[in-house]
Amino acid sequence: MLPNAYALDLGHDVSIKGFGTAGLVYSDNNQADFVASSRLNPRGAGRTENISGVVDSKLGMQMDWQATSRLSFTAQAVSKQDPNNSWVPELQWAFAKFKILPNLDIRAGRIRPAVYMLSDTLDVNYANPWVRPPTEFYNQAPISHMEGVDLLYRLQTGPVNWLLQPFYGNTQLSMTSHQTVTAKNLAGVNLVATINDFTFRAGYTYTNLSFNDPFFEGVVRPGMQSICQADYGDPVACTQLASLDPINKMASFASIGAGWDNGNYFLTGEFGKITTASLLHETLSGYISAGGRFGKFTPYATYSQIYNGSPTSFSGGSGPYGAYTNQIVTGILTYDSMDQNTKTLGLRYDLFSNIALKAQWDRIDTSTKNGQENTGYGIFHHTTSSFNNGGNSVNLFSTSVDFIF
Amino acid sequence: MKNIMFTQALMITIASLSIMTAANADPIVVVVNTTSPVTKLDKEQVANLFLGKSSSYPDGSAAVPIEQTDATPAHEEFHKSITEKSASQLKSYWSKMIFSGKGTAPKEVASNAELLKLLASNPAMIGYIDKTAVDKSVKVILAP
Repeated sequence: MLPNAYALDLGHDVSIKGFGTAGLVYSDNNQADFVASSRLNPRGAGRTENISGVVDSKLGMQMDWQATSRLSFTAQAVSKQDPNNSWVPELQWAFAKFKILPNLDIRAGRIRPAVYMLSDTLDVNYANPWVRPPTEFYNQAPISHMEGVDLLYRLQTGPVNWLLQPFYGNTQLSMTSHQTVTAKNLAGVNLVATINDFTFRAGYTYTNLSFNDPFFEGVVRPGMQSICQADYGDPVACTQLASLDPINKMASFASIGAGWDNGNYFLTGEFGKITTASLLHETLSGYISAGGRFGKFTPYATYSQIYNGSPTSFSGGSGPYGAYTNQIVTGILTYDSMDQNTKTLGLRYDLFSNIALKAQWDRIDTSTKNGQENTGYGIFHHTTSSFNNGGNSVNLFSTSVDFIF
Repeated sequence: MKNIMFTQALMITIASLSIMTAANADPIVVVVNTTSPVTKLDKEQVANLFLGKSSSYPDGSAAVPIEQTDATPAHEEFHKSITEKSASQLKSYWSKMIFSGKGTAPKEVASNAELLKLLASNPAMIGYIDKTAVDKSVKVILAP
């Protein structure tokens, strides 16, 4: 068997390849940590340390075995900062792929649900123009992998290349703040149409979500239950607890994306909406990015934004304990993902055909909901109360070396 | 007015950049084994095969694309005219396909001669060579 340029051939149709990022991030704000994902990364740049190497750095290794012309096996382990602040490599992909028809593949095992346009390359920064995918959008549905199946069906109709990718699976993942998220019956579809230089994409994912959160279970739930059950207790606390308790609640993520890339210039954007019945808030998020390739240089600019569309305060409590109901429900409603936008300017330099250097400036602005306290932290993590209680402007400078081998 | 001049200056800069990158390489042709039933493919069909977007010929039979390494002049010429991707764009594209398990990059040979030898052994294979390297063992199915 002949080699290809993207792998080390070990013989017997087994190959090994890898990718990685070495990145440094400086933040000018010491009241909060900037993290690539507030649900997956406990520490970042800003409060923990001015300059952080943990935000973007990672290393991935992949082994493929082409068992027959129709059956192959793939396993990929990635080492990066995980929710428990450990760097133990985790299997992100481990699946068998079988070619049912020339244009129809089925994959079964550990796979990543194709929730976003860039789901495939969330860890492979080399494949993207930026230092990292826009955080406001890519922070939203952090289901990095699941045990399940997907189908890859490709079809060409006239000038249009279609990819239809339905997926189904179940997963349990660790998150920051000692949370565990369980997604049951996660089902979705990813539809991509490519026409010459244009790509259009639509996706929908639906699941039954449970958050096991020690703080909610130890404090919030018992507190609400006692308000609900006390003599002269507040019945509103009972109904609010039933609707806000983050166990077994439906959640969906609908998103659309489009891109144009003629080789010299590109323009791309995505827009998504989370709908849930629980702690995870209803959010709208999106980004738009443009850039040009001038020889080895690729300058780019991005604007991205997240908007929390659910109420952030509650005043419906009743009876002598009503004030407590209001306080706790408001606390739950201000728990996660507030309003934030980022303006980004950056430059990619393709040093070799498998190594890219990147430098990026981000100006991140968070804002409060009508001046309400605890609503000013955007999607920052490990924040101080002064950061939480007001709008903030943060300058972020990032550099990275992205490579594949 | 100032804006128009700026736009013109920008267009000229862009035009000269694209001229600079267009090296005068020998033309290439896309070839298959003479015994292959395939007689003609268009640019889009060839690009789809070499980008892993399709893996069969129009008649439904399996197609096996063979690349030349990116050190060869034919590689640059082929990707400029057929897939319209630069070397680093191509790497980005394949890293997306490979690290999500969606596809595998085509196998590679290092020269026209190696390609001809390989194509002679397998009628499912499709490759590209310098036009001047064509011999009797292959037939040209696309001359861009």
